[in-house]
Amino acid sequence: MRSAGHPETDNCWLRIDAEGGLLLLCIQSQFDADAARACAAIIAERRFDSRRLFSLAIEHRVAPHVYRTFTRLGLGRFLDSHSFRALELIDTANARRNMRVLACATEILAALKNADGKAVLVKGPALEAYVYGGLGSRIFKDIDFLTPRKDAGLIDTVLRGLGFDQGRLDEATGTVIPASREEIVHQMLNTHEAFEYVKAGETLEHALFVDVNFEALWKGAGTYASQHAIDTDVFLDNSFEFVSPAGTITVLKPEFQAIHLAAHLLSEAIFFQFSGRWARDLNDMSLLRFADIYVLTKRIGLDWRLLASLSNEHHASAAVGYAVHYVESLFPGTVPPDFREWLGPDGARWIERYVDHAGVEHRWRLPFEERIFAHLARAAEVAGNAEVAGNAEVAGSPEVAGSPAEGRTGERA
Amino acid sequence: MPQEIEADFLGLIVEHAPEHSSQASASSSLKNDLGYDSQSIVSLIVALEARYGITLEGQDLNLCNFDTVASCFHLIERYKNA
Repeated sequence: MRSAGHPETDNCWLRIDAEGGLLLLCIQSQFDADAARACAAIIAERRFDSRRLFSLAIEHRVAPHVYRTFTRLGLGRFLDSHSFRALELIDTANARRNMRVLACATEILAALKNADGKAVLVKGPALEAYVYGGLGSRIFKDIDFLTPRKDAGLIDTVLRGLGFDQGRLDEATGTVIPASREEIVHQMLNTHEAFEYVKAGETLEHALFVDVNFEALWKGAGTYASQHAIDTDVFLDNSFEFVSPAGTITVLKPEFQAIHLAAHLLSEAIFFQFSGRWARDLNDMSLLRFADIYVLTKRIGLDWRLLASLSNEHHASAAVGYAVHYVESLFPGTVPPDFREWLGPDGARWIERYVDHAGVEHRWRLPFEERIFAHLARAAEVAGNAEVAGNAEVAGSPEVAGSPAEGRTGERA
Repeated sequence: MPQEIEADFLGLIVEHAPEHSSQASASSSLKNDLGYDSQSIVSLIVALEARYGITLEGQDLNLCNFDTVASCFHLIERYKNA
């Protein structure tokens, strides 16, 4: 792989190709003058493949970062015209949609507050409004709320009163196909969230989607269950009202925002219990999730000692350790050198590891930078391990002994 | 004092149980004694809602409310009497 030419502060950078490196520099360029200069040099010297950069920007859902960097540096002409125009359209449409979705989120929160309900806005819309500054640069689809299960009926009433229904959007007709009672009951009984609420709009783009989460995190299976679960009330107690460009919203305090992001990232990156979804989206390694934490540290700032202390107190050190390890690898200089020590040994628990859909734990053979920028190679490794584990299981190999519910290890030296 | 479970209610529980048993009682575990799993509990809830003309709210759709015949009965009674 070609080097991106970034200051060699971390070995990871030496193995990232030019387009992957440029993507990372685009994310950093608004906060880091050195990154902006490196970015400008690579672009002006045409040391990148325009189409691959575009493709990576879409794949990693950071198209607005790329478009805005090229525009801010006045270097749009160095991108092929089709890619530049496409990025411009994505950025414009995303900014418009985000404002509309955020306005809806504020409306829901206000109605819920009037009904004495409690909820905090999390993930996409909270990040867009609070972490990214409400400028339309964060791509997301759903409005995600975290609310105690006891308020499930309340938020259901509020959402239905605002025109939402539980179901799926029929893209052919633009209408909502209501979920069956069985589907709604099954989702409530067996998962951490309610069946998705949808409100159709004038066009497909105007449709709104709301996820109501009763647990902050996805839990692992068997041995891994609940190991990084935190009570919803803890998150609610550590939220505050924030005035966004679209209105007042309730979001998590910065350190809890970091814990929530890290734990969500860990769940998607490590536990493949939703293997079908993982195979479809490959979303556990979306650069956007690491960028979220990086932008949080730069735009909002973190009290790193407090973050370490809270992570230990709430048993979130493994998740936070995992996330910040790779954030530091992608964006060198973000994390204080002593943070790993403050976090303790749990912080390294999941680094370079994952659990497949059968509950077998593996150590990655591919280095991180290849996993994140070469999805097919990563998928091939996962598929290869699954095949080996499957064959071993049939043969009764002690290497993968035990049931998935007990957790197993398929680690190979 | 153990509450008496209505025969009609008990009949529905037994009817939807994967492992039919005439021995079902208030203390029977839906999972361990009657063989209910997550899917068959969903079917039971939908049948109970239809039978008694009620709709359980989200906060009550929690597996711990469907641990035993008695816990399930108490929940349904609460809705019937609301």
